[in-house]
Amino acid sequence: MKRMPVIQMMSALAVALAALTALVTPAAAQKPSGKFPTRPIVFVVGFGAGGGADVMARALSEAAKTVLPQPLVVENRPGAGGTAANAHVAGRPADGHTILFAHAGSSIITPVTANQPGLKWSAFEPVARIHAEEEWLMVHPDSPWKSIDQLVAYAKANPKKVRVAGAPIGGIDSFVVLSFEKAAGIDLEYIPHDGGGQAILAFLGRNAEVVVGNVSEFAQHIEAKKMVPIAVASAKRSPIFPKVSTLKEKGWDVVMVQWRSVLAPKGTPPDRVAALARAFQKAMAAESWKTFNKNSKAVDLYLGPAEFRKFLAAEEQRFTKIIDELGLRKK
Amino acid sequence: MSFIEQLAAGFASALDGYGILIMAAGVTWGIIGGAIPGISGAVAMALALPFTYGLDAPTALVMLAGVWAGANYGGSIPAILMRMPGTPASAACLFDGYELARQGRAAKALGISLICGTIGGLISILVLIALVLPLGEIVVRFGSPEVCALALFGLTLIAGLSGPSFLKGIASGFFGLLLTTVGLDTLTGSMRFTFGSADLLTGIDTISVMIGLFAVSEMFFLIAHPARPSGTLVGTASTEFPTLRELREVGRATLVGTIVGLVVGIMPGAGATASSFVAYNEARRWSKRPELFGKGSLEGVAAPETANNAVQGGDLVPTLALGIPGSNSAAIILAALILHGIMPGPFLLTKNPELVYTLFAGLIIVNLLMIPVGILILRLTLIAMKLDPPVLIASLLSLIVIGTYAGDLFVLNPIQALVFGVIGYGMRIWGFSAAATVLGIVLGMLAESELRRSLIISHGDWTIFITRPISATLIFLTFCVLVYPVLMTVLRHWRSRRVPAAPAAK
Repeated sequence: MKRMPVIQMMSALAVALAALTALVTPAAAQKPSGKFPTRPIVFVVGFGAGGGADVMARALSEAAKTVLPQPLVVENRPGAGGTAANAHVAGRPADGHTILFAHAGSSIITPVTANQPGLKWSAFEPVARIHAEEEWLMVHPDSPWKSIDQLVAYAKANPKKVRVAGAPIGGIDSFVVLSFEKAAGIDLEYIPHDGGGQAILAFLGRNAEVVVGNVSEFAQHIEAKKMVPIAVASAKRSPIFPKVSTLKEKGWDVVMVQWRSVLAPKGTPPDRVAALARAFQKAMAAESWKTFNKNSKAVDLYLGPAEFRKFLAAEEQRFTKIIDELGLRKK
Repeated sequence: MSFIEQLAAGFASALDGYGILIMAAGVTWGIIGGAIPGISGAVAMALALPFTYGLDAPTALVMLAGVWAGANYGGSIPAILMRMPGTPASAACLFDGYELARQGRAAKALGISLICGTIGGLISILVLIALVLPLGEIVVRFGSPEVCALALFGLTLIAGLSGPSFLKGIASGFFGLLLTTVGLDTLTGSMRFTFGSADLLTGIDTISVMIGLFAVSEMFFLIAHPARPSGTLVGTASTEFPTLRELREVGRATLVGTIVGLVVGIMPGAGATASSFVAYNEARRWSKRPELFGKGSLEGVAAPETANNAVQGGDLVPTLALGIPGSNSAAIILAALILHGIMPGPFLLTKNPELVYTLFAGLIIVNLLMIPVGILILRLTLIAMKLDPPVLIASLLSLIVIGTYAGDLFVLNPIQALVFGVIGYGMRIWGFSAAATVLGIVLGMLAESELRRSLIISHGDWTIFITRPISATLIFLTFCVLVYPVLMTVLRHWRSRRVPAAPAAK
């Protein structure tokens, strides 16, 4: 047999060593040890850096620094309405060192409409609901409608005339509008944009009469007198604009908030899930988080693992009903 | 405080402490990140974001500004040397850049990209500083019809990229348009061409597909036809930088690039990539030597590279005036502000002027810093290019796989790069135009979504495109561009029929 040249032997050895290491390492990582966390926790976000989800995750990670011995590291895996991140986290070891950002769109609406149960919240362990922002409907200051009733009356007489700008179909914005249309029996023209910012630009450019979204995106524009709130999709009136009515009080049961939360891979040990939830609860008392909430006009809505699971089941029922009524489910 | 005083204070704040070192570090990382294929400017900035937490707000901003500026240039390095766009915005400079490299004039092309890019960046920043508020009023006038019209105008470039067969060029362009339909459609929520796979919901990854069509196919080609007598991949790579005379020659192209970059940058939705293609097209139209384009024209490098840097100023107009990011990169600047407790919006300029002026000063400084840092990195890259071709090709293919994965951590991205490498190779053999396909992808995506959005806005009325002034102008220009060559051919034909009659009449 011909002798192998030294270089080839060394490479074969290196490959063998690498293969052995690769086989050993995941097993070692999954061995349950008492302490948690033992290395940085990866916080996977299904949206791009700089967007609302990403900024919230980063702010939460900052606040968690005071509470957890290991840092939270945000990892952006955008795509597929946030579900690319879900798919990734589903395959990660369930040892508490990987967590997933979730909101209604990425954990309920998109998986249901795309018929992908493996990406739904129920395929994961709920950790905690963190905070929420209300969904608002805004009009121009010189708009002919001074109240939501006037808008509805006009819309009834002029179907498909009132243009509403908002975020892509499948997100909370679109659901608020579609549910409102159904509840009030009107026909609006929803114009989906690639994001809240683009929707605001379209509205400011008078390409839409109404814009729907979070008040955090609108705050400074309201101050600059470029938009005026006409209704809010909450259960109660907001302390920021006490004169603005809710859709519910007018008889249209449209209550939807953009809540944001954390999930973990299925099978994550309950004690670790509880430890993470407790840590987030404490982090929400941090100064930096309070400032962040104040600036974004968001409201802390902490729910621990058990209550959050119940909340998610209820939300799924609610959204599925709307999805089916609107015929959005993929055939 | 007067405007000059505020700007001076901004400079003082930016240069305070280790400011200059941090900005230089930002620019260095930006150039490197931009050069790694698959890592765009926005991704490079996102990767740098955690490092800004410990810094105070002004320092964080100027560091990110450095990364942004650096990445705009960095992408052109592999594009010129290896036909491999480091960022999508650098794709347009490879048509002439790579030809120049093959002629042994890589350093000239890289030098032009660096210097003209810096000029474009500086001019756009100065325009931004002077006119941010008035421009902020105009930006809302650019709506979906305007962006659609611009995209259509840019698509006329397909004719120029077609090569010998116009029909194959159009087919290639339509192939690109078809590719953009894959995925979740944001306007209806329906899934197109996803074949039931959740992975395809995002659609194709533009940068991976570009790298596949241009770079991977080129590498397959080089493997199949190893023909370089001198042994190096880019010929006898001279490290001669462009002379002053050569810089003067590209002056017109640089001007075109700056204007296009500024205008397209302000338009919401259209960014550095679209502007670089439109600038290439326009530079060729206004050039004194249009026949050189595609064969190694320095102008063909100057225009797109200037445009993609000049987009910086435009992107920041809505970002600073309205708090709405003009691009993904600008979104990260806003994220940094939010994470430091500052809310962006129409009041940023009035409530935090020192911060904004520090950013202005920082942008000017980092654009200037690009030149020394850029030259340094350039020299290092040119040394690396002297490697044996097989080693180089293997290393670059590994870099492509790593780079396309590193951005979104999505395994389908490197797979797309490789698959489209095969497709690109096939297209090359059979006379199709990968460039037209890329154009179709970049501008087609924009044209389709904005067209449909425009029709929703107009309640189905197609005249919206001609009743709005800006959109009407662009449509008219597109029409002229399409009709002009036909008109010329007809006129020439008609004139040549008349001429014989004249001497007979004498």
